[in-house]
Amino acid sequence: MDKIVIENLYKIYNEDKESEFTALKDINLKVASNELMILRGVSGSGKSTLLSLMAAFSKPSRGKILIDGENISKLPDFFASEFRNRDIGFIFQSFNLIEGLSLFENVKIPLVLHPYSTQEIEEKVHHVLNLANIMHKAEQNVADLSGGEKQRCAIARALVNNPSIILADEPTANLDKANSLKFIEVLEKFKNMKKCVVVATHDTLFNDLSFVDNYVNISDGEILA
Amino acid sequence: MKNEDIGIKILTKMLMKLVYKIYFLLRKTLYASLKIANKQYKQLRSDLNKNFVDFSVRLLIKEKKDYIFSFFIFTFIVFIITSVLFVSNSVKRDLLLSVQNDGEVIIKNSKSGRYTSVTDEEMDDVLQINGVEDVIGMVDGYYNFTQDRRVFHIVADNDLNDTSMIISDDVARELKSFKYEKEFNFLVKDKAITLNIDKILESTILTNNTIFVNSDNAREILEMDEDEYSFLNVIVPNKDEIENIALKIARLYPNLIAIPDYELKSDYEHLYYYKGGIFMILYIVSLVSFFILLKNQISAIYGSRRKEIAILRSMGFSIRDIILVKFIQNSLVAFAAYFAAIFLSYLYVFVLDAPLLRNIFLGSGVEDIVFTPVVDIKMLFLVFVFTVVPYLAAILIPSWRLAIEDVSEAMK
Amino acid sequence: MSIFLLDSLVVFLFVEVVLLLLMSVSMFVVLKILRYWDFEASTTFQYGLEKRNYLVNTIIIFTISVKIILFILFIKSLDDLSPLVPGAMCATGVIGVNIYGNILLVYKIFILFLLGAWMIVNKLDLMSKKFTYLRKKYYLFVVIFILLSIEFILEILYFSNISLETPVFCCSVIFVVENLPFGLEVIDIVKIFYLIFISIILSNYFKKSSMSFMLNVLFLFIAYYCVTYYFGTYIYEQPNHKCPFCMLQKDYHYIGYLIWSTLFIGVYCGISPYIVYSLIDVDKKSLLKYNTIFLTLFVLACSYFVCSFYIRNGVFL
Repeated sequence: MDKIVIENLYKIYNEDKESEFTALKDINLKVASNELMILRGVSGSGKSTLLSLMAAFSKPSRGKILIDGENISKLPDFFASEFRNRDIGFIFQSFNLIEGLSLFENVKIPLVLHPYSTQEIEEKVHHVLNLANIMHKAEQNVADLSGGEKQRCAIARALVNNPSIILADEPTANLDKANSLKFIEVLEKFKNMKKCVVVATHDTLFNDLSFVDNYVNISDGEILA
Repeated sequence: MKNEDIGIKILTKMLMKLVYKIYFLLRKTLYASLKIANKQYKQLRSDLNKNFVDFSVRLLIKEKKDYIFSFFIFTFIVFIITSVLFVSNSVKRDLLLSVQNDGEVIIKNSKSGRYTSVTDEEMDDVLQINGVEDVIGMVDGYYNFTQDRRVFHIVADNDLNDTSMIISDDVARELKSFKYEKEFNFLVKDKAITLNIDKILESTILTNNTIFVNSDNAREILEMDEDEYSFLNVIVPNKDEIENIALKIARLYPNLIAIPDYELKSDYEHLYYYKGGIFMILYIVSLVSFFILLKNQISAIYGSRRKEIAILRSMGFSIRDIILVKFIQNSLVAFAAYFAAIFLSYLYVFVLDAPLLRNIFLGSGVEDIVFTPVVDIKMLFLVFVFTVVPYLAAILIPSWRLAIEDVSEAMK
Repeated sequence: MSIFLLDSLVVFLFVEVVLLLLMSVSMFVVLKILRYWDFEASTTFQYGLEKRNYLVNTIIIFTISVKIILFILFIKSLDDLSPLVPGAMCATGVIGVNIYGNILLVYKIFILFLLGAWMIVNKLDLMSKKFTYLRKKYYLFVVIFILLSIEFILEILYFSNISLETPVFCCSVIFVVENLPFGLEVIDIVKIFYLIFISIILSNYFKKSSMSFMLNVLFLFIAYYCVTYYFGTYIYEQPNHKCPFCMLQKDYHYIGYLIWSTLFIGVYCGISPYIVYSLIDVDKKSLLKYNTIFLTLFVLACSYFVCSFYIRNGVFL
């Protein structure tokens, strides 16, 4: 079965007003459970909006998003959050880590909502820190990390709850070439972990990768054939 | 200057220790009850768990600068109201203890609108009235200590002999400063009466500024004749008779004023309820202004918190979770301030004897007073409801506003 | 001197006003929601309404918790008033000072139960993914809001009509055997008490919520009389001291709080399933288990005093 099914999705800002702006127009998309999809498009093409809708950050103006058959677009906040916590790992362009907390504390955030014991939390966090190769910096304040290290922290955080879907919004936009390549290696790891991954990017580094299952081009809110 | 600094540092350290102790105690009980609640509550996910609370506190510690201002002002407000209540309760308790005896009527004589003494003859007549069990003549008045332009309250106590007197703490200190340590000379008209200081009593609200001597000496000091009394203590066993007896006395001697004990007691209660109530109202006014300040403060930090809240929401925190986080943080601040204020207030009232505040309550003549520590759980509960509850009520709507921010907007 | 300057009263009324303010804010929101709510709509406006839903929830949960505390404070204020009102030796006399007193007390308890029922409906509504009970829930809220405003007016009327001069009756006069319903004897009431208790346990075991509802309401009344006329005398160890309030005081180790709270929580758990059922057709029978637990605690606590007295003295009062 398809993991993510998007049907006739529209996102319109300021509807019925002068400043009405259609970010997404009639999107139809299907992503399979173990698929790695790259969403290609320039800034402003609507890919970030599409990703936020998939993660239930906002609600669509029209259409449906089905994840594992369930329509998440109309879920009340409580259930949407629960879905997000359980099934989605999001990697942001600007990393979005909480300054002032250590790496360990940042990665542990998604786990805080569950009654795990301290031991369990430690195990899970250490596991993903090792996967992302930043175990040695666990106690450091996030503000002191380099761009690449912050990215790896964001990756660890996205993985800690073992979600089935990873979404990445312009993950390499704030990285240099070396770190971008490292990220692509991580992408392959995701694929091997049998996760469903969608990456929105306009970075040419992602072109022509062998392990990518699908390239989708998006422009002006519409998917190009 | 240096000593004060050190003093303040030590005090702050002690305060922090106390706050931590209470915090950990509360935390233990909270976790224990959460464990029990979580076992039975099989939800999809249980958010109010130990990790969640710990995390909220961690965020609070990180953001402590934002809360320090509110913390101090709130502590101050609770401090004021608690001190007022401590003082008023202590005074009330002492006064009520003095009016314990049921069935007493105090009779004073008045002349030209002033109190004068009651005569032997009047006392005998009152004793004859039906329903009066006994009449005790009291000798009680004020002696003018000219050296310091001050008056001492002289009370007759017949258990003392001719040469002794018992004085209260504050009087002892006063006399000592004038080099009277073992005895004191009362200067009356053309002679001096020397009495030995037998015992020194602690100055409570009742025995403050008092000297006890036997009635003969008292009469001499107060220049009263043998057949005169300052006032009469009339014992009336049957409470219902008091009204009648007061009427009879008034008919016999229109110049005598009868004050039954329940009137006295009620008067005291009324007086202190009145004073306490005024403070409450003043307090409400200050509380309202505090909340206006609080609101402004919250809107100020609103901006910087938006991104953080959005990050939490993207990790799966629901609107309800964010409100819970803010609520836990603010509860902690409110509780810490509450306990800190009570602790400080206790020190202020019962160790330092409430300088400034006691003058407002007891008038300016009261320089030496010791408040007996009266700590009433009910009063502490009252303070809690009066302060912590409105504080938490005030942060509800701002917390909600913060929680409903659009996630994708805040992250751009 | 005005009675409104009494410490506990100032605090009590102040917090009541704060709560009413919060509820008024919710009221505005609720009216808007009731008018424009359309779950199927995908407009930003509708999503905004859903967010407002959470505000109302938060405010009401807060209000309910504080109302319970306020109820305790209310009893304390009554106790504080007793030395000022001539003739009253404890809260009982103060309540009887004017006609509003007893009405207010029963009314307050009723509102607490109603708020509790609202909480359950709310929880069920949130658990459903489509807010199925939203309209009913908010109509109930409007009713509750009106009741709360009336409660506040009643409180003002009650307190402003307390005369500090006219003497009132104290408990020994009020709680006289002749005042029992149907002219029954105390011992009959006690027998009925235990009988109903056993019926409630049976009814809960067989999960009959409508039966439990009726039995619990009956039990509440019978229990009130029993505690005041029978169990109370064993707590005070005086055959003539019949008073529901004195057991809340320090002299009796505040045991009154345990007894009354287990009774109220127990009855709440017993009557809520049926109320919720009649409102939204969902039967929450799981609460019946707590009904049994709390009422058992209550009955044990009451019986303990009788038994311990008998064991120590060999006779009943």
